[in-house]
Amino acid sequence: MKWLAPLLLALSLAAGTIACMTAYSPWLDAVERAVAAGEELELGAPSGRSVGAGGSIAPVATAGARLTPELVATLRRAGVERVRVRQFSFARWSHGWMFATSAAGLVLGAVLVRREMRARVKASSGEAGSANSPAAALACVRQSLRKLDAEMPTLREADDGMRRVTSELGELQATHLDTVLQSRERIIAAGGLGGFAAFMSAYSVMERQINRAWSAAADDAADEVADCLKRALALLDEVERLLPQ
Amino acid sequence: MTWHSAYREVTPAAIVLAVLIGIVMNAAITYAGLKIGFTIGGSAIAAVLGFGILRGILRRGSVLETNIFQTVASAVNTSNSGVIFTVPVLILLGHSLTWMSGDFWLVTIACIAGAVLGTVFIIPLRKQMIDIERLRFPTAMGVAVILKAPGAGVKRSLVLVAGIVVSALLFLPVGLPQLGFPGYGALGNAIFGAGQAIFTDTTIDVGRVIGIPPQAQVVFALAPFALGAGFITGRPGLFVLAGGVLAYWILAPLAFSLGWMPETTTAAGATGYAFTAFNRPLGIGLLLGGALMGVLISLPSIREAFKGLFASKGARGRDELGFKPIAIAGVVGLVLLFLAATYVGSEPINKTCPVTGESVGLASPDTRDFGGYTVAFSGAEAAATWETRKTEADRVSYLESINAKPGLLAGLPLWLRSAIIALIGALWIWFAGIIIAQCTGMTDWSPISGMALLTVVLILFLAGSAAVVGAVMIGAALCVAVTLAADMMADLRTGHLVGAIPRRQQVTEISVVAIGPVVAMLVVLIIAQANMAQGGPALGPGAPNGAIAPQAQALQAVIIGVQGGQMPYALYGFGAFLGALLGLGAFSGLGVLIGLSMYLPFIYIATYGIGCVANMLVTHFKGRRWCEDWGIPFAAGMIVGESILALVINIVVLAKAGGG
Repeated sequence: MKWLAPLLLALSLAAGTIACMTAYSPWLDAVERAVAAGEELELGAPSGRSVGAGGSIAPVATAGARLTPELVATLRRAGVERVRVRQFSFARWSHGWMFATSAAGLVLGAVLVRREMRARVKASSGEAGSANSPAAALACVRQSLRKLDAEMPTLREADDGMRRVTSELGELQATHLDTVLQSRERIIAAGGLGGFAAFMSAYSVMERQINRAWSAAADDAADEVADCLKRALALLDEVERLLPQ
Repeated sequence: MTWHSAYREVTPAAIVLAVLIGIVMNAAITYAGLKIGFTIGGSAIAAVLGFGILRGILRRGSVLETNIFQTVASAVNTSNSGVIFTVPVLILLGHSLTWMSGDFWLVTIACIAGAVLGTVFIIPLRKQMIDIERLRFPTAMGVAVILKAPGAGVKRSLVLVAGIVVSALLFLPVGLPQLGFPGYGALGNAIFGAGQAIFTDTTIDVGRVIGIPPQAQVVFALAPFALGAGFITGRPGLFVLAGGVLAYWILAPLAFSLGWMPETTTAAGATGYAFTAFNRPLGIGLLLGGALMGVLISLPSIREAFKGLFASKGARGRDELGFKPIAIAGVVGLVLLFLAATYVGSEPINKTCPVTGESVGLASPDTRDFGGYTVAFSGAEAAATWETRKTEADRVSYLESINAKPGLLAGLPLWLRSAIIALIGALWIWFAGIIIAQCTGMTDWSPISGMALLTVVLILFLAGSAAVVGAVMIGAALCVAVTLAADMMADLRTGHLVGAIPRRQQVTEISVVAIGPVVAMLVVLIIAQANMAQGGPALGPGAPNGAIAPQAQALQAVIIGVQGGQMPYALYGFGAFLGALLGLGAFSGLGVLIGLSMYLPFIYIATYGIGCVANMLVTHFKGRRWCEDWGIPFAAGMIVGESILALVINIVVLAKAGGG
């Protein structure tokens, strides 16, 4: 069942695009009726195939040729079944029904996908207090930042102090910060798109301070590292407040 | 904003050196683009050069200073793709671009306007695209890996270097033929026989090897950068591959087999026919519809993003460029577009007098406005005859005889036509910038040529089928705008990953964006004039130095098609409808991804797809963390290696051409 929605979407898209291929290539019968009714049609591509002297292949009619009853008859004698025309008409579109069906399939597929997504989020939101929850991840972030902030006086003086800072912050980026980013669906389910946007907006500002601290540590700019850690901690309050529960 | 904080970020050294490097890159890549049809992104090259110059030679560059360096250099370089996709069309259509011609400077001004508009218009969406939606921007991630190399540890830096070396080695036989040495094609001839088309200098035709019919194209580009970009994109990139599979492995072969193509179409020509007849219009339509749906669904994020522009100066407000400078820059850009549109609209469209048949020049003082066009006459008497003795039917017939169909705005005075075109052009630039930035963010591919095509069609529809100069001018402005929009957003993504303050990158980029279009335009002019001095055409087929301008030729074909009423507008509409419906599901950008790859060259999409699959396999067997820690740096190296080697080869070729 998990594959039903993507399969439906894929098949519907394929059907819709296949249907579009005949939008400008109606049956010759339909063209004949239109020409007889006085409609002015022009060929959009060469049509028909004739073998000339010396075996050279050439079209019976070239692109741009005006379709007249005589030309249509000539093309029919040449075995042509469809022609490409420059003018589109729903009445001449042989696969219009397929396009409409594919559109319905795409809508149904979208409904199924959203329903499945809601079910998945509902299942995972039961783990609100789990170690993988964004709230728990933010708590770990706070703990790590506090620890680093407290150790900064020592780390400044140590030979490999800044190296340890990049290592700690790198670990933070790869684990707890990543956990928050992977919780997108859960956060949207809890707070809607508006709540998610407000949270991510604040979160990103804090995250950028952590990234800046990492860069500063890589450049041995200890003062900048200290400033960034303090700013990140200050911003974390708002981030946690904005996290939808 | 503190320019002299203790931690080095925005420095005169970074800006000045970056501008110089950007100019050199721009010139070399403009020349290469005129020959091969596509350009190289400059951010990765700039990051490596910045690293080498600031940290290696000057011994004082910081991570953030190098980030500013690559921001500035790529901003100066990037506009070349916008210029080469559009401006050469004017030359191909017979217009003369010289130092003395008003058209040259007008188009340059339009490109500068586009550069400013593209950069400022996308800034308000930084928060939405990068902070909230977290668009990946694969190359930008690779650039961040380069910038962070000093602190990432020796092992990871070595992995990055390994990626660069492997990429350069793989790409070398692709580039050698440009220097006159044998490449992969010679190897292919040795294996499969002389004249074979299975293993060429740039591609490998797997389909032919395994016996797949030629109407289904199974050809892969020998492009390490595509592999690297695909790897960094990962699983979402499979949607891009899906669009290519649909177009080249399902639609084209099916249409050929069912007889839905002209009877004279061969199996080998099926792909080409399918591209023009339905894959391109459907793909572009899907892209547009998908982008529109994406914007609608992202409205909450966009609303939040705009809040930041008007935020009071707190820690968050200070990070972003405010609304006032953006509005000022936007108005300046709009005015430049208006002035350019007015001047172009006042130029006569005819070369001979409709009454006397004598030649008339652009500077003819006797002109009349008719059908939305300016018509020139050989003298006051001829102009009076036109007004008093010629009937309306005669006048309309004359316009038809020179293929000048009236546009939608034909009945309006010139100043109003120009104002509307400038406004619609600016709005379209805004929307197209969003599309391009989203595409680049999701996949690293940007459908600039598709946007250029739509822009030209839009302006011809508004101003009339003979308003080619105006259409190309706005098209050039748009192309430059969207390339800079994508570049700005990618640089901001890199900046986010290294902790840069967005406002600093935004201000430095806006300060230098005008340089790039001037450089690119001058290079096009120099190359065109050098070709004419050698007795050949300025550009296009037969140009002495091989500057065939393939993308411009494609745009020329579209313009001729529009003028001849050959555009399949319904297919664009149906594609847009399908693209919008695709965006209703969980992933609003689905229509954009699939549409994009339906009309991009499949050879690169196929190689890109291999990279995506490689990421999925590595993640499956070694875990996500391992893939991010080791796979991404190697993939970043793959992007950088080809870029640097391609630039070096282009510089050598340019130097040889200049010396010759």
